[in-house]
Amino acid sequence: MFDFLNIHSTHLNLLLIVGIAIFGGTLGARLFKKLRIPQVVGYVAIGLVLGESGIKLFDHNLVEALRPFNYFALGVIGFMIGGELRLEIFRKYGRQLTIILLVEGLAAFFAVGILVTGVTLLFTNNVPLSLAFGMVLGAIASATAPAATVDVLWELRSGGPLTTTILAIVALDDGLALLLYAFSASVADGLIGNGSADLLKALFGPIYELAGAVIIGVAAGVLMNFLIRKARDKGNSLALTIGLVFVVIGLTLMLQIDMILAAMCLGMTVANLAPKRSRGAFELVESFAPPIYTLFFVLVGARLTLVNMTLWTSVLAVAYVIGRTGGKMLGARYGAKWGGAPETVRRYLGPCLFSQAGVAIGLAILATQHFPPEIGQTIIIVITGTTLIVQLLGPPSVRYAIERAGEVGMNVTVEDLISSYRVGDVMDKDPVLLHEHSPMHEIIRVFSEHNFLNYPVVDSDKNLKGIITFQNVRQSLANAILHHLLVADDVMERPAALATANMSLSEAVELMNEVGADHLAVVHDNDGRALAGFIDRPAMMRAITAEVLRRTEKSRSHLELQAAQPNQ
Amino acid sequence: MQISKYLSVDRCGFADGATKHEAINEIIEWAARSPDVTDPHELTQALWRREGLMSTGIGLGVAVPHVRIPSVKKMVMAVAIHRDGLPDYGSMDGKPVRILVLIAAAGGQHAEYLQLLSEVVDLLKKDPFRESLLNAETPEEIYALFCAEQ
Repeated sequence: MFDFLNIHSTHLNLLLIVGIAIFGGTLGARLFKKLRIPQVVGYVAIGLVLGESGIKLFDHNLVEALRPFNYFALGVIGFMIGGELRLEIFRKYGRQLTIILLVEGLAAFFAVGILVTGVTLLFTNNVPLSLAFGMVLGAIASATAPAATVDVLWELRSGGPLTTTILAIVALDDGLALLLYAFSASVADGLIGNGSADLLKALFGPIYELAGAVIIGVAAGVLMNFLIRKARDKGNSLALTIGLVFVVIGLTLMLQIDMILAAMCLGMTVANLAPKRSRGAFELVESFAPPIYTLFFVLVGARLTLVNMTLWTSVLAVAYVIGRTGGKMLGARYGAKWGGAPETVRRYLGPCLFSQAGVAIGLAILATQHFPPEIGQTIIIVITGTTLIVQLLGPPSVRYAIERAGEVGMNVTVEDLISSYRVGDVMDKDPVLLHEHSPMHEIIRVFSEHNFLNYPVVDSDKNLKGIITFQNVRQSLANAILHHLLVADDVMERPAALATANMSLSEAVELMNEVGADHLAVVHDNDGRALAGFIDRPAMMRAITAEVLRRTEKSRSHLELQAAQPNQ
Repeated sequence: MQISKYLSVDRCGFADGATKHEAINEIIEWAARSPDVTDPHELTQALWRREGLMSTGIGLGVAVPHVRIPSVKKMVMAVAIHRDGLPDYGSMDGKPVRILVLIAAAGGQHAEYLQLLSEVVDLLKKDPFRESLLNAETPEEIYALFCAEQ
């Protein structure tokens, strides 16, 4: 009778769930950001609270109902990662990346394989079964989830050799995981006598999946390159891009081929065929993507479950995490060393490869369908349990590694810098001053000796009295006869834009646009006129552009160094 | 530029204050007769502040006190002749000031202000014009001299 008071997820419609997830996830991310924890952990944590391990607001059926949405999110994430992969990087560093990929993937495979086999042997005393567990879990362990890792890179606006290597490795190691899994599953079948152990047939599956994904992605990329050339405006371009991402995801589902890889190939093809024209398309998707990412990661958290963990599965999970972490750390370190990567990559790549999600869970689900329940169920419990741990620990370690490698904020645009600064960060704290009694010849001297177009005029107490712009001087120069009569006070105008040092720079730029001024006088507080600093807009823009170039140049010079010393 | 449109007969006259201070206050009073000067107090303060930065006595017995302030609605001129001369004016050439031309402009009239200043200075640098001004007998004559120079 009072059933309506018992709010259960079946009473909540999908849109409400989506709303709660995006809203809650964003709030969670803000909270975590304050604690200097990557936003993606906030999304996942909110998902945990709302989902099966928490208050169960999102039950299994609802999460399942939102599955198409997850696919779309993965498609967008894949597309965006693809957009950052330039062929020239593979051309230059292909050998290095291949070595790193193989060593870190195989190291995780062997480390997990050996540990899991050992632990299983202890519990079951069954050698073939232990080997089967070891190989399957080892193969799954080689995968790295791109989404959560890349989200941290984007949040930190990172750039440099470590960032480039991470992007390439996370984009490629799912392929390695699929091949390893196919091989391991087939060997495991033989070991435990599960059906016919046809290695060739088992290997063909993943090859079909990978090759199909590449073909569809590249074909869609070529089509998209043609379409964005014809797009009439931004809205049109966004609709075409999103539409094509949908088509690619739909096709991969229909043909049962690798979705993220296909989306990456789409992004990579477009970005490499039309680097300039496609930039707009990527920017549009980027600006449209945050709610999609939020929902995706909240749902990842909602799906994770810690129930059903027994002593045996717990020990297995611990062995898996230790083996995978150790394998990835050592593998990344030696892979980078043997591949000739720079020191930052050798030291910090390992901690960036902890994340595990979609592909690992997907392979675990495959295992439940492929193997007898006692094996399949154990694998899925171990993988979901460990995914929970690495999804929470992975992003902070990426953040730590990127910070230590000094790559934070190296991939920025002028707009990014403007929105990250306060007025006090960029103002000239010791500007060239004109005094209100400065005569015309003094004003002309200042204008000719310095490279600014605007100067503040102050009184003897350094209180702001006005501004002299180049335009003011030009008008005064036209009346040569007045040179002996005029002082700065006669020539100056009232300051059009006033700010304090803690105003955000984007707000200040907006203010300058509003009043049509290209200068900003900075005072100690809004009422007083004591001058704290000055911004001459053309000079500020020159400095910001130089900073963007400096950071880009720094990332590039690292890469050049990397190319110059391939065998170090 | 039509200089006389900024001037009127009631803002022309003969100052008799013995000092720079008295003479300037006198000419400010005349300027304040214009309805465009809405705050004579601000005008006084601004003119004296400006005078404190650098004397507006440009030599040849001429001074052009000038200021640009928000409380002036439209540009206004006033002219004072001082027959005895003001030796304490602090002119560039040290000579006593006999001709004072006050110019008060509105905040936004920068270009117009500079142009009027420039034309007035140009005019006052001409010996015959200065002589005619010093020989004028009435405010009307002063006004007429400016009207004639268009």
